[in-house]
Amino acid sequence: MDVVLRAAAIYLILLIIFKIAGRRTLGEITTFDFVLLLVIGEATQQALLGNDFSLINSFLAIVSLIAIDITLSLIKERSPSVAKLIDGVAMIVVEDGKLLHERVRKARLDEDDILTAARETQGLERLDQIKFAVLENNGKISIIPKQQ
Amino acid sequence: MPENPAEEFADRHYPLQEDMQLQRRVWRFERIGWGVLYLFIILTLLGLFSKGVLSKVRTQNDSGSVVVEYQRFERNGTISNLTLRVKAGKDGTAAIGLDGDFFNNFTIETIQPTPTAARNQGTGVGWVFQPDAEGWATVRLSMHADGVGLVRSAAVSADSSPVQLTQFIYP
Repeated sequence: MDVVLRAAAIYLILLIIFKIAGRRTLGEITTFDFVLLLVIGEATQQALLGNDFSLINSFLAIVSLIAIDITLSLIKERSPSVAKLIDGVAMIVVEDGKLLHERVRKARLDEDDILTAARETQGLERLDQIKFAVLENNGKISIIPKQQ
Repeated sequence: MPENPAEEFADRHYPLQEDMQLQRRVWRFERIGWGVLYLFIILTLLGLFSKGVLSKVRTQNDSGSVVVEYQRFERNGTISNLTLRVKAGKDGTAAIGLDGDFFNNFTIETIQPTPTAARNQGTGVGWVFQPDAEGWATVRLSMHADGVGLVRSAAVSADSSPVQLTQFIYP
């Protein structure tokens, strides 16, 4: 019985903590972030399974987590406002080559992050070659170049 | 040239539909959330979640013949310590016990030193120990928290008033 409650509690706690951390925190994954995620997984595992290392317990934990995830995705599909709340919304950070400073600052980004994305995805060199840069809700920056 | 912030936070409709009002609410939630995270760290260091100044309790009965040291905050499934100091009675032995509410929520793993006698005492268990030269017995229990929630129990001695223990076990 308690494994379902444990899974639900863990799911909720992780959802809230990663919302607090913001999309930038683990959006662009570095090696260190990856290690951090593994450690977080390790810390979660204990609370999820308790002292019960039986096959059935881990099976039930997985079933519960996936079921909660499916339920949430169904709710999101029905209700766009819930989806926006949980997934966040995309936001423009460069408009016609002009950096929207306040937005960038609040999103804990800087010009370098946008230029990095511009180089990596489009091979652009300067901010004024960017028509739009969008901070997507998965934390990645997508670049739409100006037509030459 | 500084941007007009109001204009900067207005919704754009192309190339995507923004919702800056929600975005600003998300940012506010993040900022408050960071505060909460730091608060949790400070409270943890202080011992709100066991082991710290807020958690450690030393209490005794009116006559001072029974002194108990324990953690106010416990965690389910975790082993912790409880120390009982008991003054020997007229018969030269130190008798102390814990009541039933304690045993409903904790399992004793070890008890040191080994009691010379153990018996049922009400709903709980009572022990008899050999005191030291000064007439005190110091007993260390290592116990495993099984319950969850508020636990009110008592350390009961035959010939003096009991010591009330109040503990909270986190899930």
